[in-house]
Amino acid sequence: MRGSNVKIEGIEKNFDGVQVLKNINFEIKAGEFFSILGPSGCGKTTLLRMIAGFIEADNGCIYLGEDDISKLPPNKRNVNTIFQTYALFPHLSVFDNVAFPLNLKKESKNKIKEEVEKYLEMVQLKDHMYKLPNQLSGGQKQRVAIARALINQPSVLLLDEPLSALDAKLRQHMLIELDNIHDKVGVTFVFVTHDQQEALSVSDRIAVMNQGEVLQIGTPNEIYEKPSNSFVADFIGESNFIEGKVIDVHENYAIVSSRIFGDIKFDIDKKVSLGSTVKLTLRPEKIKISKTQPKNIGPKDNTIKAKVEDIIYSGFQSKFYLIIEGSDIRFKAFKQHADFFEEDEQTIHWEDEVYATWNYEDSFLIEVL
Amino acid sequence: MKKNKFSLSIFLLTMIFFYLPLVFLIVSSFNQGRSQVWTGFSTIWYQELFYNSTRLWQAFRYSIIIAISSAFLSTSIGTLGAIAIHWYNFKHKKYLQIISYLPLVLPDIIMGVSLLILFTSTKFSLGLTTIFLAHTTFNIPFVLLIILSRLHEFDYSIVEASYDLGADEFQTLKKVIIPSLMPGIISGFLMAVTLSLDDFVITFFVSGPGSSTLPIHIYSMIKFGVGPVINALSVILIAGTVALAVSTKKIQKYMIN
Amino acid sequence: MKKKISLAYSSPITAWLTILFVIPTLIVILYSFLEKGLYGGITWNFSLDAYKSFSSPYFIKILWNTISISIIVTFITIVTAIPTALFIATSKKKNLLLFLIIIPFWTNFLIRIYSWIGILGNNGVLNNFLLSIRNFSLGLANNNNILSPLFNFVANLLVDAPYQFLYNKTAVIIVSIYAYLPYAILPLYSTIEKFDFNLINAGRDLGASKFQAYMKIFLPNIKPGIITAGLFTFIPALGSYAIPQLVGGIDSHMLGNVIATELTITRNWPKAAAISTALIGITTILIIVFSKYDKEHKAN
Repeated sequence: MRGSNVKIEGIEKNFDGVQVLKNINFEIKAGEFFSILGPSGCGKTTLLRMIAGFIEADNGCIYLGEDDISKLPPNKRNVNTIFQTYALFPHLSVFDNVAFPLNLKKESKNKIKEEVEKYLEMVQLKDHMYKLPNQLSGGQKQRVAIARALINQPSVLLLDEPLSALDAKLRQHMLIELDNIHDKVGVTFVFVTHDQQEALSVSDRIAVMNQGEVLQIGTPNEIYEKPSNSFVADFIGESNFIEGKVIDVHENYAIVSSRIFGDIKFDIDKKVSLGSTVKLTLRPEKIKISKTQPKNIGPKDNTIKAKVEDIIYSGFQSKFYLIIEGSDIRFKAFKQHADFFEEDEQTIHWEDEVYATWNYEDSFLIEVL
Repeated sequence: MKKNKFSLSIFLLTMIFFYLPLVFLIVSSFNQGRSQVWTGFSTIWYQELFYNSTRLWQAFRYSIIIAISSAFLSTSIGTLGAIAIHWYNFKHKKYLQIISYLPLVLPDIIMGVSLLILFTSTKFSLGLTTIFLAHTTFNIPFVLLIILSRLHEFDYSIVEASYDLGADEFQTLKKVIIPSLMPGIISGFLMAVTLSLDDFVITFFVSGPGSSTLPIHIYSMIKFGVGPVINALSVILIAGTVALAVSTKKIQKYMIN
Repeated sequence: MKKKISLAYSSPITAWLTILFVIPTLIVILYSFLEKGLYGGITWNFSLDAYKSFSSPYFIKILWNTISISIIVTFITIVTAIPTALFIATSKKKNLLLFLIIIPFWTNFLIRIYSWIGILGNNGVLNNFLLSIRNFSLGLANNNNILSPLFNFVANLLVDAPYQFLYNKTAVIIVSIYAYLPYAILPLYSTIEKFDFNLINAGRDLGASKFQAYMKIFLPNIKPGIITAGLFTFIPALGSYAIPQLVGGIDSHMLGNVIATELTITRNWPKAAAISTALIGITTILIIVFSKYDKEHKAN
């Protein structure tokens, strides 16, 4: 089974006066595990359903390989969907559910048996062949849905938030299984989710959407480390933002003057003009905090003073929420407890005054305002 | 609790009010004499019922035939209509919703009168066919209502899944929608059968000579004072109704499990 | 494609109901404005004679009978149905009790009417009962003891027995209530079931007596159910035919009887059509008024 590439060209959709999709253009590569990530209402599900054929676009085209499938009804597209609620046929057994597409094509009984068993084997449900859907657990239903969708040998598999109905542990497990199936089968996966952890962990590439627009497409690493705007920076992982006026420009860095943070150095990879107002972003895990003045400050480091307002301890890491004097913005610093005991380490408590330090190469310019 | 005692006593009175007439009916069916004065236990009226009432049995046969056939047709038409209303938009949707609601609220007699006038004006002779047409007509809104309420709880994504996996509309209807709706369809069918068997007024207006259904026959029996044979018949019908009601409940319980 | 499919699903029902419901109803309304034919039926001349006959004393009496009987029946039915439905909704054996209500409901309509003939008739259960009390009292009075005057009194009260309970307005009312009560109990039950009884507790907590709590909190909140039950009793009652035919008398002819007579005996089709149109009109107005009320109620 080989996957197909999917090309979205100029897709627009308006629902009751609301522009739900605004000029979407991108391409999904054949065989990719591609995720569409965004908050509820961003249009990701609408886009997915358009690829499936359940919704028609107002403008634009969708290509599956070389073919324009925009006007084809869902049953004529070589695309299959995994629904959020699994949509298993309640009156049919697991076997008959999976056999459904083949029954439509009037395949021979032997061939059907062979294929169904093969796919049920792949999702490890062969022992439950004759059960009814209401006798299965959520995870099992999920796997039946996958087998049923793949038996048709589609070139693209669409997954509409398939894990949202499962509990956390099961979600992790199913995610890995989906990844394995993808590797084994080679079909293009288009995975829609609002959970960035899911998207980051298994995708080859991610498209981040908000309010009907695609804001950024890239690998998980690119999206995380180099978000292209504030929304992406804030939606993926957690970010701190620093705003201020550029007061000094050097070859590799510039200095921004922020009312709250003071004078901060930041990395530049393209020109900024003196006097312009900019917005920087900084990941909390890149910040080191200490109770005492940090001793090894280099020329590339920024240090500020702040007060600890909140600490959330989750075993492997602590999240510190800091308040800087003169503002009510919460500045986030995350610390992983890699070593049980660290030299020079003093336990930090609520209300402590601390120093936050980071290397300017870990922050970057995200917007020129 | 005072309020409970009040509603309890009203409830008990209502129960007595409901069942006492039926009890008298049953008791007097076993009465030897014709009046309500007890003259001794006898099954004479039951014998009369079973051996001497060919016209009654014919009416009963006609009732069953019409009930089942009109239920089939109205259930089919009603189910398709419910699917149209619940999942689709079309130009005459509002019109359809109104005309399928109206028969439920207008008094029966209006439908009887209007169908009589229609049939007579178009020189369509009154008989079993007209009764069949009338019954199908008044059954459709009830079936529609029942199926619509089932569709509210219907998971539409299985219909989409069916299309997604390659089925066209007809295949989806046959293999997915109807099987999933089956409990509702059966409910609607049974309701239609019941309404048809029980109908008097509409049937009265659209029936012709020789085409009698059971209620029509019962009516003439009552009007012409035929006597306690009616009581015996009543008891049989009541027993049949209770048996049907109890077995329907059992079937429902079985289907849920 | 979707259009074709929606037409496929919606056409059978639309066609059927249009031909066998809408058109006949329109024909009826049309005929009410035509002239009666010489030998019955209609002639194609415009005429308001049918509606003019509404002003005849006979018709006005029938109209009054119909409306007053319907109102009385609806009132008594609702007043009885509310506590009954309340009791069922608050009972632990809801399903069993509902089942007990539904069984008579499933019994043939005519049989249920007939059962009252056996009770109310001159030779019926009620009269036999009263007669036996009279005879019994007479017998005891003749024994010449201290309580003789009492028994004589009772016997005298019942001197006119057997009484004419049947073939009059009272019979129609009693039997109508009997017939329509289940139709009122069921919608009331479904509304009461959704009522949050904690509201009663809250009201009592704030100082209301039980009676006040039910009057001021319970009843207003089940108004939609009451209206539905009321409409589903009043409208069928207006169109009654079988009940007045079987247990009514000359003083209790209703619109339904007149329609049937005009249609089949007198063959004055325009008149039958006119009365039917009037019924359609009254029903439609009631439905529109109450559905507007319902919309407002929901908006609030």
